[in-house]
Amino acid sequence: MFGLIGHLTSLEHAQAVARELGYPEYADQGLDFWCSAPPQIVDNITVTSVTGQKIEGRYVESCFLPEMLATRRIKAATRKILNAMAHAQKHGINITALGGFSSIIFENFNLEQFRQVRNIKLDFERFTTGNTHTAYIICRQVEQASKQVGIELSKATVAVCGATGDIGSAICRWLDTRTDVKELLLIARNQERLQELQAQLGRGKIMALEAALPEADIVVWVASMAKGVEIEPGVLKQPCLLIDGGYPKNLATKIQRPGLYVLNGGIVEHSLDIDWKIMSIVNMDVPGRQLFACFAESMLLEFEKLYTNFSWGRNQITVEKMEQIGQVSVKHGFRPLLV
Amino acid sequence: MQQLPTKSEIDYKSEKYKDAYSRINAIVIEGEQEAHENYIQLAELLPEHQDELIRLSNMESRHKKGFEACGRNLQVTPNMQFAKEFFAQLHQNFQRAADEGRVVTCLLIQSLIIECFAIAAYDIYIPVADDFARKITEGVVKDEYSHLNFGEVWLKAHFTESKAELEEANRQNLPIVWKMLNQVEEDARTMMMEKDALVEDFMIQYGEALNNIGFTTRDIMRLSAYGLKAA
Repeated sequence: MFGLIGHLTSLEHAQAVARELGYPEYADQGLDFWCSAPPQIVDNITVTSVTGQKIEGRYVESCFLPEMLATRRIKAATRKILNAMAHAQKHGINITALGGFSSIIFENFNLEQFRQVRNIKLDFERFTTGNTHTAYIICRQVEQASKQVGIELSKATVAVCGATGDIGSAICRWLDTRTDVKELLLIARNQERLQELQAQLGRGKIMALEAALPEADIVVWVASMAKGVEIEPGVLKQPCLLIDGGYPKNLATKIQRPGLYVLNGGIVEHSLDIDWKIMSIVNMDVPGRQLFACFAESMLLEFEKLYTNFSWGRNQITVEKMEQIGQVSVKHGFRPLLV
Repeated sequence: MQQLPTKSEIDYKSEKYKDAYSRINAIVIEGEQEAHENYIQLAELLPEHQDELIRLSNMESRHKKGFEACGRNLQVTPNMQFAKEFFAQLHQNFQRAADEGRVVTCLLIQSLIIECFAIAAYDIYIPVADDFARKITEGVVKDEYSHLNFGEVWLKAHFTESKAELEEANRQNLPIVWKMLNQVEEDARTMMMEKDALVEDFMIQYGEALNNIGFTTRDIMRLSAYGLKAA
């Protein structure tokens, strides 16, 4: 059995979902309540591969909300993730993906040091960040969507915003070795990490966001922030492909202009309908078929009975591992969302 | 990178800490004493489980002695008067149910509410406890899981006929726990135990117990809401 640990995108969203699902007592509660709410399994999922294989899964709502980070309720945020992981393990789930902010919180606050959660000792082999598949899917989106909108990679400048992160650095490695992208612009907050990445790649220009945007034919946005970022569309090239792989996704709704193509990054489409309720709750356009690539990674590991933390730790994603997960992604009928 | 606070920031010898500890320590001692007495009464109500319940009762008595030692170790005199008043309402509800032979209500109060609350409090306390108290509390938590289990097993076996009484007992008693929690919120914070962490841990334990007994996720969310209304 596979598992997905997810959360809602804002307090307002959480209240609306509680009302919709018929829990009026919860719909009127503020952030304090969500800081004390326990994790719940809210959905049972069946996925059928194009090979005909069927697997079962569970969706664990962690009750984490991005406002917890924005208001610095760090302890609450970290508790949500550890408790959701303990909940998944207690329910015998073999491999669980840490969706949305879950893996970011796990990494940033070194939650590996808190292995004991009440009477459960977390077995990290049972969890994956799903980042290898997300990075693979975003790379395939760069390759395929650029063709759709008439951008030639061999002549294109690609700006990676969040380049030093787990996903961002993997994308840079793939674009460097597996494509003929003309130029890579590396954008991140930490200069030291940027220089390390540049040294590893042996290429790439370190730039500030404002300077990089007017030069980019393709912008890959993989920085995750508790609040969305607004980009002034006037500074962007025409055409420009903007792949929003950040979380929560909010570039698409804010930017509209002819010649600008905004694509939800790190999203896959399955070839067959998935029997679940949760993706309509997280506002996917086609909830029966579209999902986060990180979630799909736990499904792929379940299909392949690869019960291991395939994606774990920071900056461990190799191009070979991306190829490996990519092959099984195609085999079971997942494909990147395109323009 | 942001850091999580650590227990090295706590001064166990400060007057402020010891003052808060005098109430929290008393509550724990009183809680164990009440549990000891409650299990003896339950043994009278459930004579077929007498041996098991007397064993649990004796275990609670040992826990009480352990926590008394924790207070002495920090040179704190527990404020037992405060603790007696703190438990008065739950105590009264248990006594009334016992007098009327309502075993289900007694089990909900002792085996579910009090035990879940104790486990939650101990779990949250352990990482911020002084070394002496941490060892004692770790030992206690292991035992507490076994009491919780007694109530769960009995209620699960009698779920159909107990369901209505469990719901009523939950409605009456859960709000009391929330009020109790609010009463010690400040003291708990002084000891680096946050209210939202305590509530969350309690809801996890209580929800799991209700789930093991036979309630669905939807039932559990509805039952837990009775606590929230009082929060």
